[in-house]
Amino acid sequence: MPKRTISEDWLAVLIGFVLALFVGIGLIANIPWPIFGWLR
Amino acid sequence: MTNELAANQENPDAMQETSDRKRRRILGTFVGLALVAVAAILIAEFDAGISAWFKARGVAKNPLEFPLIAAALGLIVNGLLRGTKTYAFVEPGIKTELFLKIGLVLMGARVSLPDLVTKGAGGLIQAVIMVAAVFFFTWWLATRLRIPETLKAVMACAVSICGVSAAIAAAGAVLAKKKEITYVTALVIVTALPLMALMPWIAQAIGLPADVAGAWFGGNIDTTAAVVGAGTIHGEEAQAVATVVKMAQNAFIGIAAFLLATYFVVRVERKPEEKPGVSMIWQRFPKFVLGFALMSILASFGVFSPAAIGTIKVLYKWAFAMAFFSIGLELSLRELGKMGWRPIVVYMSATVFNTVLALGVATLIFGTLGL
Repeated sequence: MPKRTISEDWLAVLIGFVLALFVGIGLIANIPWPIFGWLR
Repeated sequence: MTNELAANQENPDAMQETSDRKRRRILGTFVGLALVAVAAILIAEFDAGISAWFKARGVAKNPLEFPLIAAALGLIVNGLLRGTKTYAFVEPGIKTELFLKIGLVLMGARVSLPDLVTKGAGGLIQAVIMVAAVFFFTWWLATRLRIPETLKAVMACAVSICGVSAAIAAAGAVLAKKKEITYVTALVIVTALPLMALMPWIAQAIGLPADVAGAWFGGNIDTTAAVVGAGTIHGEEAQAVATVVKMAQNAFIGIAAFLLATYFVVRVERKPEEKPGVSMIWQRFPKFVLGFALMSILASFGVFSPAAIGTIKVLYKWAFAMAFFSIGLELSLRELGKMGWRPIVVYMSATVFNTVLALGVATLIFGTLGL
């Protein structure tokens, strides 16, 4: 059980940074985001 | 795992069953994740519609902020899934902690480094006082009501540090039973949901400044998701302070797990030669806090443009919506009846003690001392 908690923490950090990277690439390359709700 | 492999080699039927179970689990994870993603889209649509409805009627601040909508929708879907006996199938995809931690890492981009340092320092001071006082109060009351040692440790950590994740860390340290974790998880959620809805309202009613309100939510509500939810309902400043204060409290998981493991080995099991190493503090340390801090440092050095921060804000709102929906999904009232009235009395008394003390400490540190 402790192992799962630790790996989940690092996974969250990795996904967070990948998403932030995508945001940067999206802005530079001017890629439109999906249009649901808050992203409209 | 090796035993399982050996058993499977001897018995092809068992191997088939294991692989079927694995396939079912993977499918359940995907279906669960899809369910949470669809719910997040619905929550976003509801939120946009409800905000527009209130705005059209001259109400500037939406009283039904999205954490409430998300948790309520989670509770409804929870009832439907349990009623149709499909809950166990989708359960592997309900990753409340993961969704929340992704949102928190992204949220780091919105908190400036000076704010992180000052609020973090205030949060650490508050955390030392709150964790120590609430932990020992819960321990004392649980001892008086003759709660079993392992359940007592799991409950004291959950109520004093950070709910479910502290309960899991403590359970690992004291080798608690799985049913004790499930039970304490139910207690955490059943108290956190009403607090998430009521505390922002009370804070506004008694006129607490945003940072004191945020520190109060962070110091009192057990589970981090509900702390972020309460902060979100109150406003952006309270959300940032509540999150930083709660993360300072989260950082104590490692120390608490180490001390508990040492206490149990030496005093309860009387095997001093099996004392845990200090490395346990790092093993149990919540690493996502480092991700949050790194994101805040990058933002403070101007790595993210204002447009990028705007999009990141939307992304973490989605992650939080998924986490709030999942808390509603995780509530299991059936668990609460399983251990009698004593643990419920201990947990509820500790929550009341925590609420009153956190209000005083937050007012002193973030109000009077102005940290």
